[in-house]
Amino acid sequence: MGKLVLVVDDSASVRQQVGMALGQAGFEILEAGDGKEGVSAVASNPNVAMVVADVNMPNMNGLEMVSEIKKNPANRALPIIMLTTEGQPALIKKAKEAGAVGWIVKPFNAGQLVATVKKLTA
Amino acid sequence: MKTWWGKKEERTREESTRPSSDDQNLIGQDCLECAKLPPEIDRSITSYREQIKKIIHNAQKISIREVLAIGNSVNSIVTHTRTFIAAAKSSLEATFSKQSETLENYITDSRKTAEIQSETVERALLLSNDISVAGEAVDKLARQAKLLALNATIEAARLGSAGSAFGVISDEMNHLSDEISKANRLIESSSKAIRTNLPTIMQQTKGQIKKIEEFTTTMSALKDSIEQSISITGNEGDNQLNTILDLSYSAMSHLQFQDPMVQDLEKVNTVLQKCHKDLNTRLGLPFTEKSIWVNTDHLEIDKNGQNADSTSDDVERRDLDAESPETKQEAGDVLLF
Repeated sequence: MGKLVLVVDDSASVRQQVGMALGQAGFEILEAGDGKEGVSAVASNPNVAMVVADVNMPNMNGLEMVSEIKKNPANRALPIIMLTTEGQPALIKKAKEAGAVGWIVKPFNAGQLVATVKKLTA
Repeated sequence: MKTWWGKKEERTREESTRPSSDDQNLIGQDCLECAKLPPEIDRSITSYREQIKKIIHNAQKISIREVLAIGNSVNSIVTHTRTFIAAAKSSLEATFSKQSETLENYITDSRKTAEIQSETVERALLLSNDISVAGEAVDKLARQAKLLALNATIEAARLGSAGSAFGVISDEMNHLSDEISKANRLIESSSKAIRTNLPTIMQQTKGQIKKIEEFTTTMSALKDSIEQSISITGNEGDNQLNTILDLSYSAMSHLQFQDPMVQDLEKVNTVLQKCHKDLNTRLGLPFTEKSIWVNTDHLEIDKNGQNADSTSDDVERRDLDAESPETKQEAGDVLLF
């Protein structure tokens, strides 16, 4: 049984791509369509080993989601990386301050994503 | 052939080149004098940009739909192939391991048998030598007995009739001595034959052991080679599948973001955005960047590869960070904090 990775993105196609890449590498995938769903998914699945999240999403964006998840002390060690088309340093800084551990700019390289997830869940 | 998005693009172009009557009244000196960008123009420009964004996403939708369908097929094929390779590799390893074990047991048994045979032959050779030594002793005893019988015969003759009975015994002793010598010669002859043949048998047995050892070495090398081949085949197959997957993901990922038409439209949108900003600047108005954010929920692909139709609600305006990027991250960059 592979480690459980939560993929949070409002685009089903991106969720599918990430899911396929990580699924082939042996990870179990849990999907959420926005930040709110992401927070709920983490709360109801304590075995989530890592979160891969978009930044621009409806209802609750990725940065707000990271802050919300990190409010729970139990999630302090949970690695969260942002997977987004954005690349502005200010946003990256905000993500880091919110508690994210990494930033990948789309379009992503599947091999790099898998290697990053493996490294952060090792 | 015109696609539906082509028509949309055409319509957008017509709209963009044909100002409404309201726009015509508002563009010009009157507006500059009042130093206020008429909300109709602002709305109009924003509307054009929204429509371009919609066209971009509709174009992306086509790429995504087609590429994802292919990607799903590739993924499915790769998954099945990987499973098949793993099963074939496992089966091959199990079969080879079983056959290899049987052969190893056979070789071990053969070697043990040959070694026992060799030891037996060596012992037989030693016994044969012992027999030869014993034969010489028996021959010596037979000769002494014969000499004794001869002396007894002489003594019996010297005694005359009184020694006749003794003469019979000496004759029997002489006869017995001859028989012992005869039997001993037979034993010696057989022993000699054994001593002559045993080294040949021993040499053949040692040759057999050597051949078994050579066979064992060859078998070991062959086993290593087969195991390596199985491993390489499995790994190579896995590498090839990973390459296929990477290409598939790469195609999906890049087509989504690098479709030429999408890139062209992005440029159009950037130019329009610049015009919007310039217009504000000329009017001395502050320009707050509003990036257009498009909800991509409509890009959901169902099992039949169909998309839900997009609606006007797909487009929203969201404030994105407008700070000037100094070390902006590029596509594909991975940054770990």
